Amino acid sequence: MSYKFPLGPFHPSLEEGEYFELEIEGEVIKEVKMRIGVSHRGIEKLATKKNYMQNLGLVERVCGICSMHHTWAYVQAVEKALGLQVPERGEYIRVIVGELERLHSHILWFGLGSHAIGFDSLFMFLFGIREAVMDVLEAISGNRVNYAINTIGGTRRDIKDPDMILKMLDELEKNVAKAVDVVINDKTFRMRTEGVGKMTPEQAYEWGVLGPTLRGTGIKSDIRIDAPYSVYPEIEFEVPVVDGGDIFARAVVRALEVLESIKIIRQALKKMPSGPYRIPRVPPVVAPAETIARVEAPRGELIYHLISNGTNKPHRLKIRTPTIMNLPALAEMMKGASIADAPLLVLHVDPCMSCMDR
Amino acid sequence: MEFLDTYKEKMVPRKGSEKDFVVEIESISELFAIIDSFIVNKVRLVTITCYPEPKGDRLFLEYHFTDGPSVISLKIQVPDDKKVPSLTPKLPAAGWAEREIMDLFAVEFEGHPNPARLLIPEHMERGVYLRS
Repeated sequence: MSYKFPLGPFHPSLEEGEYFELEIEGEVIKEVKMRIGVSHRGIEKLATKKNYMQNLGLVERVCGICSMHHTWAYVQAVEKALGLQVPERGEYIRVIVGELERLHSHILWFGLGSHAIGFDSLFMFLFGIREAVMDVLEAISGNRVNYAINTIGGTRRDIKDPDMILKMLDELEKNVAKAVDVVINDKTFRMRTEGVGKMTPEQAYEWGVLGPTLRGTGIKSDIRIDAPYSVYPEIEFEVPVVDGGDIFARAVVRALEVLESIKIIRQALKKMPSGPYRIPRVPPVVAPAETIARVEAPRGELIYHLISNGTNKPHRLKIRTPTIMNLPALAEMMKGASIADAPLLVLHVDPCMSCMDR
Repeated sequence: MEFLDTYKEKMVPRKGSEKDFVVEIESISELFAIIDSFIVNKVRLVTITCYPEPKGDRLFLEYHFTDGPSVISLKIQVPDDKKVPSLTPKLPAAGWAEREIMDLFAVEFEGHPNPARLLIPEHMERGVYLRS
Protein backbone atom coordinates (compact mmCIF):
# COMPACT_ATOMS: atom_id res chain seq x y z
CA MET A 1 0.00 0.00 0.00
CA SER A 2 1.33 3.43 -0.88
CA TYR A 3 0.82 6.72 0.88
CA LYS A 4 1.54 10.34 0.06
CA PHE A 5 4.27 12.38 1.71
CA PRO A 6 4.17 16.14 1.24
CA LEU A 7 7.65 17.70 0.95
CA GLY A 8 7.06 21.43 0.95
CA PRO A 9 5.93 24.04 0.04
CA PHE A 10 7.78 25.01 3.21
CA HIS A 11 9.93 22.30 4.69
CA PRO A 12 13.08 22.45 6.85
CA SER A 13 15.06 20.51 4.25
CA LEU A 14 14.18 22.86 1.37
CA GLU A 15 16.03 26.12 0.89
CA GLU A 16 13.17 27.71 -1.05
CA GLY A 17 9.45 27.04 -1.22
CA GLU A 18 8.20 24.51 -3.75
CA TYR A 19 5.81 21.59 -3.40
CA PHE A 20 6.88 17.97 -3.96
CA GLU A 21 4.33 15.23 -3.42
CA LEU A 22 6.10 11.91 -2.93
CA GLU A 23 4.18 8.67 -3.32
CA ILE A 24 5.83 6.15 -1.07
CA GLU A 25 5.68 2.40 -0.68
CA GLY A 26 7.49 1.44 2.51
CA GLU A 27 10.55 3.65 2.26
CA VAL A 28 10.80 3.68 -1.54
CA ILE A 29 9.68 6.65 -3.62
CA LYS A 30 7.36 5.44 -6.39
CA GLU A 31 6.12 8.69 -7.93
CA VAL A 32 6.94 12.37 -7.58
CA LYS A 33 4.56 15.19 -8.39
CA MET A 34 5.84 18.74 -8.44
CA ARG A 35 3.87 21.93 -8.09
CA ILE A 36 5.90 25.04 -8.81
CA GLY A 37 5.06 28.73 -9.02
CA VAL A 38 5.26 29.51 -5.30
CA SER A 39 7.43 32.54 -6.03
CA HIS A 40 6.13 33.45 -9.48
CA ARG A 41 6.58 37.22 -9.73
CA GLY A 42 5.74 37.82 -13.39
CA ILE A 43 9.23 39.17 -14.10
CA GLU A 44 8.98 38.54 -17.86
CA LYS A 45 5.85 40.68 -18.04
CA LEU A 46 7.26 43.32 -15.71
CA ALA A 47 10.33 43.60 -17.98
CA THR A 48 8.11 44.88 -20.79
CA LYS A 49 6.96 47.77 -18.58
CA LYS A 50 10.43 49.08 -17.69
CA ASN A 51 13.14 50.59 -19.86
CA TYR A 52 16.35 48.81 -20.76
CA MET A 53 18.39 50.35 -17.93
CA GLN A 54 15.71 49.73 -15.29
CA ASN A 55 15.52 46.12 -16.41
CA LEU A 56 19.13 45.60 -15.30
CA GLY A 57 17.97 45.92 -11.71
CA LEU A 58 15.02 43.64 -12.38
CA VAL A 59 16.87 40.73 -14.01
CA GLU A 60 19.55 40.99 -11.32
CA ARG A 61 16.82 39.91 -8.90
CA VAL A 62 15.60 36.86 -10.81
CA CYS A 63 18.13 34.86 -8.83
CA GLY A 64 20.01 35.53 -5.62
CA ILE A 65 22.97 33.25 -6.26
CA CYS A 66 23.64 33.59 -10.00
CA SER A 67 22.47 37.20 -10.29
CA MET A 68 25.56 38.24 -12.25
CA HIS A 69 24.94 35.64 -14.95
CA HIS A 70 21.37 36.87 -15.39
CA THR A 71 22.47 40.43 -16.06
CA TRP A 72 25.32 39.09 -18.21
CA ALA A 73 22.90 37.25 -20.51
CA TYR A 74 20.57 40.26 -20.53
CA VAL A 75 23.24 42.82 -21.43
CA GLN A 76 24.59 40.50 -24.12
CA ALA A 77 21.13 40.30 -25.70
CA VAL A 78 20.75 44.11 -25.59
CA GLU A 79 24.30 44.72 -26.86
CA LYS A 80 23.66 42.39 -29.80
CA ALA A 81 20.45 44.27 -30.64
CA LEU A 82 22.27 47.61 -30.42
CA GLY A 83 25.39 46.33 -32.19
CA LEU A 84 27.69 47.49 -29.39
CA GLN A 85 31.26 46.35 -28.90
CA VAL A 86 32.19 46.18 -25.22
CA PRO A 87 35.73 47.37 -24.28
CA GLU A 88 38.05 44.43 -23.67
CA ARG A 89 38.74 45.32 -20.04
CA GLY A 90 34.99 45.28 -19.39
CA GLU A 91 34.75 41.75 -20.80
CA TYR A 92 37.62 40.58 -18.58
CA ILE A 93 35.96 42.08 -15.50
CA ARG A 94 32.76 40.23 -16.40
CA VAL A 95 34.64 36.94 -16.71
CA ILE A 96 36.39 37.46 -13.37
CA VAL A 97 33.18 38.34 -11.48
CA GLY A 98 31.29 35.55 -13.29
CA GLU A 99 33.85 32.97 -12.23
CA LEU A 100 33.94 34.32 -8.66
CA GLU A 101 30.19 33.77 -8.66
CA ARG A 102 30.65 30.19 -9.88
CA LEU A 103 33.18 29.64 -7.08
CA HIS A 104 30.87 30.79 -4.30
CA SER A 105 27.84 29.06 -5.84
CA HIS A 106 29.58 25.68 -6.08
CA ILE A 107 31.06 25.97 -2.58
CA LEU A 108 27.58 26.85 -1.30
CA TRP A 109 26.23 23.74 -3.06
CA PHE A 110 28.87 21.57 -1.39
CA GLY A 111 28.06 23.08 1.97
CA LEU A 112 24.33 22.50 1.65
CA GLY A 113 24.90 19.01 0.24
CA SER A 114 27.11 18.00 3.15
CA HIS A 115 24.55 19.48 5.56
CA ALA A 116 21.83 17.36 3.89
CA ILE A 117 23.79 14.16 4.49
CA GLY A 118 24.49 15.20 8.08
CA PHE A 119 28.18 16.02 7.57
CA ASP A 120 28.01 19.29 9.45
CA SER A 121 31.73 19.78 10.12
CA LEU A 122 32.36 19.88 6.34
CA PHE A 123 29.40 22.25 5.98
CA MET A 124 30.92 24.67 8.51
CA PHE A 125 34.36 24.46 6.91
CA LEU A 126 32.99 25.14 3.39
CA PHE A 127 30.84 28.07 4.46
CA GLY A 128 33.92 29.45 6.21
CA ILE A 129 36.07 29.35 3.07
CA ARG A 130 33.20 30.71 0.97
CA GLU A 131 33.29 33.91 3.01
CA ALA A 132 36.69 34.75 1.48
CA VAL A 133 35.05 34.79 -1.99
CA MET A 134 32.15 36.87 -0.71
CA ASP A 135 34.56 39.39 0.80
CA VAL A 136 36.31 39.79 -2.56
CA LEU A 137 32.99 40.25 -4.35
CA GLU A 138 32.03 42.86 -1.77
CA ALA A 139 35.35 44.65 -2.24
CA ILE A 140 34.85 44.74 -6.05
CA SER A 141 31.18 45.65 -6.23
CA GLY A 142 30.14 46.84 -2.79
CA ASN A 143 27.53 44.07 -2.50
CA ARG A 144 27.52 40.52 -1.26
CA VAL A 145 24.55 39.26 -3.25
CA ASN A 146 23.28 41.37 -6.14
CA TYR A 147 26.59 42.79 -7.35
CA ALA A 148 25.11 45.05 -10.05
CA ILE A 149 28.42 44.79 -11.91
CA ASN A 150 27.05 44.67 -15.47
CA THR A 151 25.64 47.52 -17.44
CA ILE A 152 24.79 47.84 -21.11
CA GLY A 153 28.13 48.43 -22.81
CA GLY A 154 30.50 47.27 -20.07
CA THR A 155 30.70 47.05 -16.31
CA ARG A 156 29.77 49.56 -13.64
CA ARG A 157 32.97 49.15 -11.62
CA ASP A 158 36.64 48.53 -12.29
CA ILE A 159 38.86 45.97 -10.58
CA LYS A 160 41.39 48.18 -8.86
CA ASP A 161 43.26 45.71 -6.70
CA PRO A 162 44.01 42.44 -8.53
CA ASP A 163 46.53 41.40 -5.85
CA MET A 164 43.76 41.07 -3.29
CA ILE A 165 41.97 38.55 -5.54
CA LEU A 166 45.20 36.61 -6.21
CA LYS A 167 45.94 36.40 -2.49
CA MET A 168 42.43 35.10 -1.79
CA LEU A 169 42.73 32.53 -4.61
CA ASP A 170 46.00 31.10 -3.21
CA GLU A 171 44.39 30.61 0.19
CA LEU A 172 41.15 29.28 -1.32
CA GLU A 173 42.94 26.76 -3.53
CA LYS A 174 44.59 25.16 -0.49
CA ASN A 175 41.30 25.02 1.39
CA VAL A 176 39.34 23.68 -1.59
CA ALA A 177 41.97 20.97 -2.10
CA LYS A 178 41.31 19.83 1.49
CA ALA A 179 37.54 19.77 0.87
CA VAL A 180 37.93 17.93 -2.46
CA ASP A 181 40.04 15.32 -0.71
CA VAL A 182 37.23 14.76 1.80
CA VAL A 183 34.55 14.63 -0.91
CA ILE A 184 36.40 12.05 -3.01
CA ASN A 185 37.86 9.88 -0.26
CA ASP A 186 35.44 10.07 2.65
CA LYS A 187 33.57 6.80 3.10
CA THR A 188 30.40 8.38 4.52
CA PHE A 189 30.14 10.87 1.67
CA ARG A 190 30.58 8.14 -0.94
CA MET A 191 28.07 5.82 0.73
CA ARG A 192 25.40 8.50 0.71
CA THR A 193 25.99 9.68 -2.87
CA GLU A 194 27.16 6.73 -4.98
CA GLY A 195 24.42 5.08 -7.01
CA VAL A 196 21.80 7.62 -5.84
CA GLY A 197 19.93 9.71 -8.41
CA LYS A 198 21.00 7.63 -11.40
CA MET A 199 20.48 9.08 -14.86
CA THR A 200 21.62 7.71 -18.23
CA PRO A 201 22.89 9.98 -21.07
CA GLU A 202 19.76 9.06 -23.11
CA GLN A 203 17.45 10.19 -20.30
CA ALA A 204 19.53 13.34 -19.91
CA TYR A 205 18.92 14.20 -23.58
CA GLU A 206 15.19 13.46 -23.39
CA TRP A 207 14.70 15.72 -20.39
CA GLY A 208 17.09 18.40 -21.62
CA VAL A 209 19.22 18.28 -18.47
CA LEU A 210 21.88 21.01 -18.19
CA GLY A 211 25.05 22.09 -16.47
CA PRO A 212 26.99 20.00 -13.94
CA THR A 213 23.99 17.64 -13.71
CA LEU A 214 24.49 16.82 -17.41
CA ARG A 215 28.29 16.72 -17.25
CA GLY A 216 27.97 14.20 -14.42
CA THR A 217 26.38 11.76 -16.90
CA GLY A 218 29.42 11.86 -19.18
CA ILE A 219 28.20 14.37 -21.76
CA LYS A 220 30.50 17.31 -22.50
CA SER A 221 28.34 20.38 -22.83
CA ASP A 222 29.39 23.84 -21.72
CA ILE A 223 28.40 27.10 -23.40
CA ARG A 224 31.81 28.59 -22.55
CA ILE A 225 33.35 26.02 -24.95
CA ASP A 226 30.46 25.20 -27.34
CA ALA A 227 29.42 28.75 -28.20
CA PRO A 228 32.16 30.91 -26.66
CA TYR A 229 31.10 34.37 -25.52
CA SER A 230 32.98 37.30 -23.98
CA VAL A 231 36.74 36.59 -23.74
CA TYR A 232 36.49 32.87 -22.95
CA PRO A 233 38.21 31.96 -26.26
CA GLU A 234 41.34 33.74 -24.96
CA ILE A 235 41.46 31.64 -21.80
CA GLU A 236 42.66 28.07 -21.46
CA PHE A 237 40.57 25.81 -19.28
CA GLU A 238 39.14 22.32 -19.13
CA VAL A 239 35.50 21.27 -18.85
CA PRO A 240 35.38 18.41 -16.35
CA VAL A 241 33.20 15.50 -17.41
CA VAL A 242 32.61 12.45 -15.20
CA ASP A 243 30.79 9.23 -16.11
CA GLY A 244 28.54 7.65 -13.55
CA GLY A 245 25.37 9.70 -13.66
CA ASP A 246 24.88 9.67 -9.88
CA ILE A 247 25.18 12.35 -7.20
CA PHE A 248 28.80 11.43 -6.56
CA ALA A 249 29.74 12.03 -10.23
CA ARG A 250 28.05 15.44 -10.16
CA ALA A 251 29.84 16.32 -6.92
CA VAL A 252 33.20 15.49 -8.54
CA VAL A 253 32.28 17.62 -11.59
CA ARG A 254 31.54 20.59 -9.35
CA ALA A 255 34.70 20.06 -7.29
CA LEU A 256 36.85 20.07 -10.43
CA GLU A 257 34.97 23.11 -11.78
CA VAL A 258 35.90 25.07 -8.67
CA LEU A 259 39.57 24.41 -9.40
CA GLU A 260 39.08 25.36 -13.08
CA SER A 261 37.39 28.61 -12.07
CA ILE A 262 40.40 29.50 -9.94
CA LYS A 263 42.60 28.88 -13.01
CA ILE A 264 40.37 31.07 -15.19
CA ILE A 265 40.41 34.00 -12.75
CA ARG A 266 44.22 33.88 -12.47
CA GLN A 267 44.61 33.94 -16.27
CA ALA A 268 42.02 36.68 -16.71
CA LEU A 269 43.72 38.88 -14.11
CA LYS A 270 47.04 38.41 -15.90
CA LYS A 271 45.65 39.12 -19.39
CA MET A 272 43.33 41.98 -18.45
CA PRO A 273 44.38 45.03 -20.50
CA SER A 274 44.25 48.57 -19.20
CA GLY A 275 41.87 51.10 -20.69
CA PRO A 276 38.17 51.88 -20.50
CA TYR A 277 35.80 49.26 -19.10
CA ARG A 278 32.51 50.67 -20.37
CA ILE A 279 31.02 52.68 -23.18
CA PRO A 280 30.17 56.10 -21.75
CA ARG A 281 26.93 56.65 -23.68
CA VAL A 282 24.42 54.02 -24.75
CA PRO A 283 21.35 54.79 -26.90
CA PRO A 284 18.15 54.40 -24.86
CA VAL A 285 16.04 53.19 -27.80
CA VAL A 286 16.57 49.77 -29.40
CA ALA A 287 15.56 49.23 -33.05
CA PRO A 288 13.31 46.22 -33.82
CA ALA A 289 15.40 43.06 -33.50
CA GLU A 290 15.28 39.55 -32.10
CA THR A 291 18.37 38.42 -30.27
CA ILE A 292 19.41 35.43 -28.23
CA ALA A 293 22.13 35.35 -25.59
CA ARG A 294 23.43 32.29 -23.80
CA VAL A 295 25.79 32.07 -20.85
CA GLU A 296 26.95 29.17 -18.71
CA ALA A 297 25.58 29.95 -15.26
CA PRO A 298 26.79 27.85 -12.31
CA ARG A 299 23.71 25.64 -12.75
CA GLY A 300 23.90 25.29 -16.54
CA GLU A 301 22.96 27.05 -19.72
CA LEU A 302 20.99 30.26 -19.20
CA ILE A 303 19.27 31.77 -22.21
CA TYR A 304 17.67 35.17 -22.78
CA HIS A 305 15.47 35.81 -25.82
CA LEU A 306 14.89 39.52 -26.39
CA ILE A 307 12.41 41.00 -28.84
CA SER A 308 12.70 44.76 -29.21
CA ASN A 309 10.16 46.98 -30.97
CA GLY A 310 11.92 50.30 -31.57
CA THR A 311 11.00 51.85 -28.20
CA ASN A 312 12.94 52.16 -24.95
CA LYS A 313 11.19 49.08 -23.51
CA PRO A 314 11.51 45.45 -24.60
CA HIS A 315 8.52 43.91 -26.37
CA ARG A 316 9.20 40.50 -24.87
CA LEU A 317 11.96 39.14 -22.68
CA LYS A 318 11.98 35.37 -22.34
CA ILE A 319 14.16 33.96 -19.58
CA ARG A 320 14.92 30.26 -19.52
CA THR A 321 16.81 29.28 -16.39
CA PRO A 322 18.64 25.95 -16.04
CA THR A 323 16.51 24.78 -13.10
CA ILE A 324 13.28 24.62 -15.13
CA MET A 325 14.95 21.93 -17.26
CA ASN A 326 16.66 20.08 -14.40
CA LEU A 327 13.71 19.86 -12.02
CA PRO A 328 11.32 17.73 -14.15
CA ALA A 329 14.26 15.38 -14.73
CA LEU A 330 14.72 15.17 -10.97
CA ALA A 331 11.31 13.46 -10.72
CA GLU A 332 12.79 10.65 -12.84
CA MET A 333 15.96 10.46 -10.72
CA MET A 334 13.94 10.28 -7.50
CA LYS A 335 11.92 7.24 -8.54
CA GLY A 336 13.16 4.17 -6.69
CA ALA A 337 15.24 6.14 -4.19
CA SER A 338 14.78 5.99 -0.43
CA ILE A 339 12.70 8.66 1.31
CA ALA A 340 15.75 9.46 3.48
CA ASP A 341 17.61 10.58 0.33
CA ALA A 342 14.82 12.90 -0.84
CA PRO A 343 16.24 16.16 0.65
CA LEU A 344 19.69 15.36 -0.77
CA LEU A 345 18.20 14.51 -4.18
CA VAL A 346 16.29 17.78 -4.33
CA LEU A 347 19.40 19.72 -3.29
CA HIS A 348 21.81 17.95 -5.61
CA VAL A 349 20.53 19.52 -8.85
CA ASP A 350 21.31 22.87 -7.17
CA PRO A 351 17.72 24.02 -7.63
CA CYS A 352 17.08 27.72 -7.76
CA MET A 353 13.34 27.82 -7.26
CA SER A 354 12.78 31.57 -7.52
CA CYS A 355 14.94 31.59 -10.64
CA MET A 356 12.69 28.94 -12.15
CA ASP A 357 9.39 30.62 -11.20
CA ARG A 358 10.53 34.11 -12.28
CA MET B 1 23.24 18.05 -40.08
CA GLU B 2 20.88 17.11 -42.94
CA PHE B 3 18.52 19.82 -41.83
CA LEU B 4 21.01 22.54 -42.58
CA ASP B 5 21.21 21.57 -46.28
CA THR B 6 17.45 21.39 -46.97
CA TYR B 7 16.63 24.65 -45.24
CA LYS B 8 19.66 26.71 -46.19
CA GLU B 9 17.67 29.45 -48.01
CA LYS B 10 15.11 29.75 -45.21
CA MET B 11 17.61 30.14 -42.39
CA VAL B 12 17.91 33.77 -41.33
CA PRO B 13 20.87 34.57 -39.04
CA ARG B 14 20.02 36.48 -35.89
CA LYS B 15 21.30 39.96 -35.28
CA GLY B 16 24.61 39.94 -33.45
CA SER B 17 25.19 36.19 -33.60
CA GLU B 18 25.95 34.64 -36.96
CA LYS B 19 25.63 31.09 -35.63
CA ASP B 20 22.03 31.42 -34.42
CA PHE B 21 19.25 31.06 -36.99
CA VAL B 22 15.52 31.60 -37.27
CA VAL B 23 13.52 29.41 -39.65
CA GLU B 24 9.95 30.38 -40.44
CA ILE B 25 7.78 27.27 -40.73
CA GLU B 26 4.47 27.25 -42.62
CA SER B 27 2.63 24.23 -41.24
CA ILE B 28 2.60 22.23 -38.04
CA SER B 29 3.22 18.95 -39.89
CA GLU B 30 6.40 20.44 -41.34
CA LEU B 31 7.45 21.61 -37.87
CA PHE B 32 7.02 18.15 -36.40
CA ALA B 33 8.88 16.53 -39.31
CA ILE B 34 11.89 18.76 -38.59
CA ILE B 35 11.67 18.10 -34.85
CA ASP B 36 11.64 14.33 -35.59
CA SER B 37 14.94 14.68 -37.44
CA PHE B 38 16.29 16.73 -34.52
CA ILE B 39 15.36 14.00 -32.05
CA VAL B 40 17.15 11.38 -34.18
CA ASN B 41 20.26 13.59 -34.33
CA LYS B 42 20.08 14.36 -30.59
CA VAL B 43 19.67 18.09 -31.12
CA ARG B 44 18.67 19.35 -27.69
CA LEU B 45 15.50 21.34 -27.01
CA VAL B 46 16.40 24.61 -25.30
CA THR B 47 12.97 26.10 -24.71
CA ILE B 48 9.83 27.38 -26.39
CA THR B 49 9.12 31.11 -26.51
CA CYS B 50 5.62 32.44 -27.08
CA TYR B 51 5.08 36.09 -27.95
CA PRO B 52 2.48 38.34 -29.51
CA GLU B 53 3.70 40.16 -32.62
CA PRO B 54 4.92 43.72 -31.86
CA LYS B 55 2.03 45.28 -33.82
CA GLY B 56 -1.09 43.15 -33.94
CA ASP B 57 -2.73 40.31 -32.06
CA ARG B 58 -1.24 37.24 -33.69
CA LEU B 59 0.73 34.90 -31.41
CA PHE B 60 3.96 33.21 -32.45
CA LEU B 61 5.83 30.22 -31.07
CA GLU B 62 9.57 29.74 -31.39
CA TYR B 63 10.97 26.29 -30.69
CA HIS B 64 14.65 26.76 -29.88
CA PHE B 65 16.95 23.80 -30.47
CA THR B 66 20.71 23.61 -30.07
CA ASP B 67 23.44 21.29 -31.32
CA GLY B 68 26.01 23.08 -29.16
CA PRO B 69 27.46 25.99 -31.16
CA SER B 70 24.24 27.30 -32.69
CA VAL B 71 20.65 27.84 -31.64
CA ILE B 72 18.11 27.05 -34.37
CA SER B 73 14.71 28.62 -33.72
CA LEU B 74 11.69 27.22 -35.54
CA LYS B 75 9.11 29.99 -35.76
CA ILE B 76 5.46 29.24 -36.35
CA GLN B 77 2.27 31.24 -36.09
CA VAL B 78 -0.29 29.98 -33.56
CA PRO B 79 -3.55 29.10 -35.41
CA ASP B 80 -6.65 31.22 -34.70
CA ASP B 81 -8.24 28.54 -32.49
CA LYS B 82 -5.02 28.65 -30.36
CA LYS B 83 -4.60 24.88 -30.53
CA VAL B 84 -1.20 23.33 -31.25
CA PRO B 85 -0.31 19.63 -30.95
CA SER B 86 1.91 18.88 -27.96
CA LEU B 87 5.56 17.92 -28.38
CA THR B 88 5.80 16.38 -24.91
CA PRO B 89 4.83 12.77 -25.86
CA LYS B 90 7.86 12.74 -28.18
CA LEU B 91 10.22 14.82 -26.08
CA PRO B 92 9.55 15.10 -22.32
CA ALA B 93 11.82 18.17 -22.11
CA ALA B 94 9.02 20.24 -23.69
CA GLY B 95 6.59 19.39 -20.87
CA TRP B 96 7.05 22.34 -18.55
CA ALA B 97 7.76 24.82 -21.35
CA GLU B 98 4.36 23.99 -22.87
CA ARG B 99 2.55 24.14 -19.55
CA GLU B 100 4.09 27.55 -18.93
CA ILE B 101 2.84 28.85 -22.29
CA MET B 102 -0.62 27.41 -21.54
CA ASP B 103 -0.66 29.41 -18.28
CA LEU B 104 0.78 32.66 -19.59
CA PHE B 105 -0.61 32.89 -23.13
CA ALA B 106 -3.61 30.52 -23.07
CA VAL B 107 -2.36 28.47 -26.03
CA GLU B 108 -3.69 24.93 -25.82
CA PHE B 109 -1.25 22.08 -26.44
CA GLU B 110 -3.37 19.13 -27.53
CA GLY B 111 -2.30 15.73 -26.27
CA HIS B 112 -0.19 17.02 -23.39
CA PRO B 113 0.10 14.20 -20.83
CA ASN B 114 -0.32 16.54 -17.84
CA PRO B 115 -1.98 19.83 -18.84
CA ALA B 116 -2.41 21.09 -15.25
CA ARG B 117 -1.51 24.65 -14.33
CA LEU B 118 2.19 25.11 -13.63
CA LEU B 119 2.94 28.66 -12.51
CA ILE B 120 -0.46 30.13 -11.69
CA PRO B 121 -2.99 28.99 -9.03
CA GLU B 122 -5.66 26.42 -9.97
CA HIS B 123 -8.54 28.89 -9.90
CA MET B 124 -6.84 31.54 -12.03
CA GLU B 125 -7.88 32.07 -15.63
CA ARG B 126 -5.24 31.23 -18.21
CA GLY B 127 -3.48 33.83 -20.33
CA VAL B 128 -2.12 36.10 -17.58
CA TYR B 129 0.54 37.69 -19.83
CA LEU B 130 -2.04 38.64 -22.46
CA ARG B 131 -3.64 41.14 -20.11
CA SER B 132 -2.01 44.54 -19.86
